[in-house]
Amino acid sequence: TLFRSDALRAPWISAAWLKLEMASVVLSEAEKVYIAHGIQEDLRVDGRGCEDYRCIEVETDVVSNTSGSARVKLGHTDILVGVKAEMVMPKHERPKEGYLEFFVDCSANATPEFEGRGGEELGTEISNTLYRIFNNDASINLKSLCIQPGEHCWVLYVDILLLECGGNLFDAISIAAKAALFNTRVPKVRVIEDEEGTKEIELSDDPYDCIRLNVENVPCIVTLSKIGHRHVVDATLQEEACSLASLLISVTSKGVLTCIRKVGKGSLDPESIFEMIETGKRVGKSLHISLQDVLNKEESLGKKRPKVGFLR
Amino acid sequence: IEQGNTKALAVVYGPHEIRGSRSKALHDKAVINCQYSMATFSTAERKRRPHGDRRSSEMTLHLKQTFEAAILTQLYPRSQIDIYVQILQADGGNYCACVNAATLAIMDAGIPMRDYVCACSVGFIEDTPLADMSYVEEAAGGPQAALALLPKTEQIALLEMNSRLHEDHLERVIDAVSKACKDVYAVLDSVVREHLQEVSTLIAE
Repeated sequence: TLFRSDALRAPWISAAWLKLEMASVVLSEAEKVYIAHGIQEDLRVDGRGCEDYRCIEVETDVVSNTSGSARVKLGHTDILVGVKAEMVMPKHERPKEGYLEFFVDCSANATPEFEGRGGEELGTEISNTLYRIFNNDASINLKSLCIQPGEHCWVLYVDILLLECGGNLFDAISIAAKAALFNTRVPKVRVIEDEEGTKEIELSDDPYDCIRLNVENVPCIVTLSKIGHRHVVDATLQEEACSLASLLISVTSKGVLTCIRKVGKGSLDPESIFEMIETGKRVGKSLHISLQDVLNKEESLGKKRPKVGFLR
Repeated sequence: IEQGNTKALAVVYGPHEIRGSRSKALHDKAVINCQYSMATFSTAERKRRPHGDRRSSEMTLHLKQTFEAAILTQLYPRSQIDIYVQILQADGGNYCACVNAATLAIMDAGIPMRDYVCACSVGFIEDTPLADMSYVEEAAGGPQAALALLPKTEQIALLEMNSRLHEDHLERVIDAVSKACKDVYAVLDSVVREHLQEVSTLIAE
């Protein structure tokens, strides 16, 4: 299941060159100048405009052991997300709600630098960003995850596996997280109280009887990288190497921002930040529309959906 | 590789210069560096750490031992070959799926090997050897063995068994698992030849 942006395919030469380096790319001055000049004219190396995404492929329900899963391929970036639901005691300060836990695993598959504990730093940075963007009452209705106030609730462990790094990790991860949460099926349970007051939790007999999450307000991250005087959406590794500062904004389908973060060692002036926010909102809204479209289409195919497995 | 419900993804980097300390370089052969990692959502019960626990370290050493026996390391002195395997879904036979996937990945990387390395697990329940057990069968208890075989010469690269098995049954068990490994070899071989045929027709054009 895929939805295409207006991007042209990357030329074969640059695709082969991308295979050599994974997480970090070394560019010569001439290459940086070439990229920067192209962007001033709204023409990127692979023919996209400044506000175009690469071709994104989204597939849900790929891992069987999970309550929900999704795989996203954004150019050379490959993300696999699995959501597992478990029953635990709710947090003290919020006894009537369930909660979400994020864990990002940068696997050594993406680049040898992530072997052992090498990927932990990047992983914690990404999971902290995800906690921040979901840290509001509107994104997910946590009250629907409550079973017994103060005693039992559902926790959704959202585990993100980074299989390949091709630039623009945050966007791909947030799209995958949204798709996986859309696909999540939490089993319906009932609390039965008998005469003596002891409570029992009963799982419904029908395995397809489950709660679905409402992901309308789940935000997606849009990363805008500043190169020269213009900013680009969905930077490749080469473009990221040319950009000194980026702005991460998390925007919902209605255009509401839940989190803004500046990354990178350069600095941004306020006017460019406002411009970037406007672009981000616009791009984010259309991204949400396309994503929801694809997810609904996939859902409507139901059992007839061609199962290509994980390996294509 | 998908073996039933078990899915493994193997990636090979190299042969390249030794990363990190130069002192680990071997003057006459390549260093094989492996990592076995399971995704946290791969098992029925969520796994807290993808790698770094004892089981994963043990599997890593087993993979290293298996591939040191198969790869012609003396062709690449003072260099390093990285093999990273990720389990995406675990339903029994994890190590075996890893070995099969890594064999294909090494072949795709163009690194010369003595032979394919095909692995399969076997159990012995109710006086019957069972080849390629699923997680439910493994959890039932009983002796289990994993065998990594170089099929053409029938050389065993790795044999690991746990629990107790009477030596009278050992021959039947080894025969069953060797046959299973040869079946796996037939599948892997046909896939590689098909792939080569596709690629050569594309290049010829």
